[in-house]
Amino acid sequence: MSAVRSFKKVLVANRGEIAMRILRTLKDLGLPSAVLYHRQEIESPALSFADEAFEVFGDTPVSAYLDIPQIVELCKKHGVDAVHPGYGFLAENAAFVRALDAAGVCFIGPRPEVMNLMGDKIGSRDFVAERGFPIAPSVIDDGDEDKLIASIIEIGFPVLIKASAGGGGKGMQIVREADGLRDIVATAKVEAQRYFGDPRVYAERYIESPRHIEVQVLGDEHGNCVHLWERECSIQRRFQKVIEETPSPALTPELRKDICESAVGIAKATNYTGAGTIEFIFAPNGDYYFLEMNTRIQVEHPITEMVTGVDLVAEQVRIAMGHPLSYRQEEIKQVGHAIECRICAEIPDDDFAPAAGKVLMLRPPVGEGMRFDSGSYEGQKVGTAFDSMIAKLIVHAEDRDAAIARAGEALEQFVLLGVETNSDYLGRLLRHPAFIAGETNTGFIKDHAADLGPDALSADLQTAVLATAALSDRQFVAMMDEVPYPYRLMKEWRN
Amino acid sequence: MRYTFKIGEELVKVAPRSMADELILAIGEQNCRVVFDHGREGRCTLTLDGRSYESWVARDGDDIYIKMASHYFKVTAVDPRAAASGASAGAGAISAPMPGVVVEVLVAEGDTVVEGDKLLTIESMKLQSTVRAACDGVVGRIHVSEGSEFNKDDVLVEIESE
Repeated sequence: MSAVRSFKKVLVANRGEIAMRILRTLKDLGLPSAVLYHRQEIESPALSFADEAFEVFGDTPVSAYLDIPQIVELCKKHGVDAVHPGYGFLAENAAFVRALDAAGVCFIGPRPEVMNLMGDKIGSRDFVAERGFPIAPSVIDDGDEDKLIASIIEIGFPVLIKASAGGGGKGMQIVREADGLRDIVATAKVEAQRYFGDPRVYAERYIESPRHIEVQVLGDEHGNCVHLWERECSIQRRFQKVIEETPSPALTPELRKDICESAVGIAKATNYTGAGTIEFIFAPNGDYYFLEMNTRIQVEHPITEMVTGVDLVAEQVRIAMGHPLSYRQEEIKQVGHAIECRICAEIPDDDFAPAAGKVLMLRPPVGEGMRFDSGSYEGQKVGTAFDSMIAKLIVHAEDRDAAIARAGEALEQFVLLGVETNSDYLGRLLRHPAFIAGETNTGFIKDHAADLGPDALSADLQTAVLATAALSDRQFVAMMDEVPYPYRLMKEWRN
Repeated sequence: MRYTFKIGEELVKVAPRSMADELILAIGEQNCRVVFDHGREGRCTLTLDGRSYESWVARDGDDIYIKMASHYFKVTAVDPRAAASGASAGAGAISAPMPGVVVEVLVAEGDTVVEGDKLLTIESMKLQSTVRAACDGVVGRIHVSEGSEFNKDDVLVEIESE
């Protein structure tokens, strides 16, 4: 345990919406702030919002934000004594934390040992399982085929079999019954050898139609640890979350208490300090299994802030200063319902292909219970240098139906012209009867793809769009002004 | 004179039919009575055959971005002259929409122009009209002078875009 300290200057080692988000809290806390920028981002609003901005150089913009020696050097040169990493980039990089430690700069986040432990997929699973928390039953092939078959049957069906050394979907298959299991395992081993040069296979219980449910936790240096309830993030495409909400429509009060207490238990077992998220796979029968722990602030943290009223970034900073948590568990209430929609520069009707362009017009939604987190600005060139997410639209209302309606209103108000985004598509997701009914799972976007296509537009609307386009086109209007049409001449003569 | 607009994969011709007491636009095969208000900061109101449509509009060159009735649209103006001049001339070559004679040359070679700037006054079928720059750039070769006669699709001026 160390004494409470204050910070003289906090550097946000990030960009875009999360840089703006963190800077806002630093201002609220009265802390001098700085932000990094790459030359491509010279017009970003974060530069003027922060007290200072330091340029980082790199062959690509992303490599600049990942350059540990350069960032540490900037901290030393400019008297930075604390760094908030945001998410992505160096947020879960233990080497960065150690480099900052060596330079006497405080990293606003957990200790590097915890980061390493939780960053290791197998190591973290074992750690969690050893302490009695639920993980999906699994078996690792040790070369003894009879033992493997027996263990798979013990796991229970359906079972997912994949190559131990594998990644992606190669050689992965779902087995639903014991009949023919021996042949399937034999084939899987041959394929594993062929694709990855290692015949060993790995099997785990396959959860059909699972939900992604995660729990926000906060821990301090004084041994306190609390949860801030769950978030459900089942609506995903390409393993990336698209819509998140809290509370989850799937949890009963008993299940909610159980899963949140498991999360606190896991975080406590690591002596966690800072903000973290424990992710679970949630099966339709109510079973849930530890998936992984994210040792950073997450993209979807605002929905938790909306229902609890806790500023998570402020808590991160206070914890890093050595303060005890500002809240006891019983003070953290889940009030109303919050939904976040991620606005991405992409073309949902073209398999979510990334879109590029220049932001010509940006009108954030404004209203009660609406929050718009963005680092975008008019004139911004959106390319493929960074992630496709350009803004987050977050709403809060008294219950789920009201929150869905409010999210629809916010999308309606929101205008971004010049770059194609998924905002139409988000509206279609929110209006889908299965979403409204709370029947969500991680396969939602694939399962309902047929209903989520573009709306059929009336011929009248297309005509109205064309008339608007023509009358907004400078050349078309100039042509109407210049070319003396006979009808117009006739009118002029009459005058 | 007609203009062509691309919406989705579809090309639709739009032309004013009457600009006397009211504006009538031919949009595709349809004649529509139109009242249009640019409003402020890109907020536009269109009344089309008595029905009202609100929209947000932003332009970038030939691309017009519109949000209308909760949907986003991209419409691209297809320049009929550029389209007519075809492969023989570059993107910045401005060719004659119809046969005629040059009344006045309003720019000189080497002038910097922006899209929409007046380049020439021409007279065709006893009517005068203005030839405008289709893109930002520098005036390259001017193929005509005052009094020159030209045929449809002749290149009149070249603009070198930067």
